[in-house]
Amino acid sequence: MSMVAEAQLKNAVPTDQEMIDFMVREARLIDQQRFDEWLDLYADDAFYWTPLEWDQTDPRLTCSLMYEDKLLLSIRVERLKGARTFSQKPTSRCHHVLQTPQVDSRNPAANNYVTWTPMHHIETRMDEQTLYAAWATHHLSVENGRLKIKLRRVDLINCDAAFGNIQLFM
Amino acid sequence: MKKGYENTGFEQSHAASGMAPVRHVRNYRGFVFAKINDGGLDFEEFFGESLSSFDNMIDRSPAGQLKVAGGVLRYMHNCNWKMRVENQTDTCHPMVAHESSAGTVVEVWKKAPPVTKKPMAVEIIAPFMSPYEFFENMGIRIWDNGHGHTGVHHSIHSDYSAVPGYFDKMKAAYGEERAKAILGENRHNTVYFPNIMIKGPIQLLRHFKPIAANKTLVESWTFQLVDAPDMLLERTLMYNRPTSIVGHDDLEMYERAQEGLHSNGNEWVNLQRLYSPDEAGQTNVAVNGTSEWPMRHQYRAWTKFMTMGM
Ligand SMILES: [Fe+2]
Repeated sequence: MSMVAEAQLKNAVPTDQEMIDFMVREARLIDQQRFDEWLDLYADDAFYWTPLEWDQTDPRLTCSLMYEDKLLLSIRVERLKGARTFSQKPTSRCHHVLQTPQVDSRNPAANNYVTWTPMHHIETRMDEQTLYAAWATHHLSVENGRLKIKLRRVDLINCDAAFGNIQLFM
Repeated sequence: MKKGYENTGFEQSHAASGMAPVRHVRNYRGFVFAKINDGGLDFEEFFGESLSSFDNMIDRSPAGQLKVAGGVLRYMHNCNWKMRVENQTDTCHPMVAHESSAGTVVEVWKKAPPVTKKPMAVEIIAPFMSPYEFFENMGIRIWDNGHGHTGVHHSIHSDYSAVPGYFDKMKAAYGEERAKAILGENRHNTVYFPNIMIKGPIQLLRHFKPIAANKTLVESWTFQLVDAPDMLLERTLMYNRPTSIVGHDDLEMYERAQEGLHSNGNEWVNLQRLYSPDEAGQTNVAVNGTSEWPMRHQYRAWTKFMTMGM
């Protein structure tokens, strides 16, 4: 498995291309199941959010498919490695197809950048393969010369469908 | 539209009176129950003392009222519906099946730097790792018609931290003694046979809908306690996440068990744990929390209702 290391940002303000590369790299880390490196892309106060409702605005008082802080994400990553994680025996695999990410807003003064990435996420385990179509919205900021994810929102096209287990990250 | 029906005898047909009304409807403190069949047990007879779990869930609102809130969650399980129902009172699986999720939570939390407050998610998931003795002492109550609940004395919901301002509102509404009695009830899962489960302390109702012999749709309804702090709804919703790692553990077990049932190696599922020959016919008894009595009780109810018209 080829490993591509993260490149430092050239300047204090990221270019569009640097943000696009960052999105592509995130998908690659998930597909290659390099979850510790993937977690490291997230700021300490980050949230990963998969809304349950279309156009959902509230993650707290409306149910979500997933709304997790970094502690919960790290528990999820640890669990995937566990010897007694029966739902990962055998393990799941996944595959991302991204459209070119678009930079929706850049606000260097507030250190806040928003990108929009339409994608297909395919998750498979044993004979089952499921296709999820979604849009990922990333809120990014620069910390110590690196891009970090503050919020990753994944809106599924069929967010209100009845799903089974979604065990990996979209 | 009358045209096209003249002289067809439509007035005498079954369709003439439109949709068949449901004749037996009961609104119990906001929950509407309907019975399509004219025969069978009436509302009070069917539910009996088990309604006390609905009462406790509703009484947890200082206004004595629940509101559907947070969205309705649905998920699909490739297993028979009875596995979902039996699981609600199966207290012997958490420490094994959920070792991967709750065990990891406990381990990660041990290594976490000391902070002032335990996160809500840790508080919710960690108790799944409680030892067998905890679940034994938790107790199970058996009512008529297959109903029953886990958590007679305490439960995995007992040690949630207090929500600021909530008890004061309860005290103002009910008086201190009654407020303490309401909140002191820590019923874990109440099963309404055949296919409903509620969690009073979490304000949650799950409806298990059989789709096929090996397919079950779960609808999960959450409620807001009217006039109580929002933080309680937040906890309810956190408990109710479908992508929860605890849920992943369970679904894996259901699906493996379902596959196992397709084998003829052993066509029986054993439900004998803590069996006692005198249990049939007993009602409103509290027993050891790891007994499979509730499951046996569900099958006794099943037999009763399936043979009722014979
Ligand atoms: Fe479970």
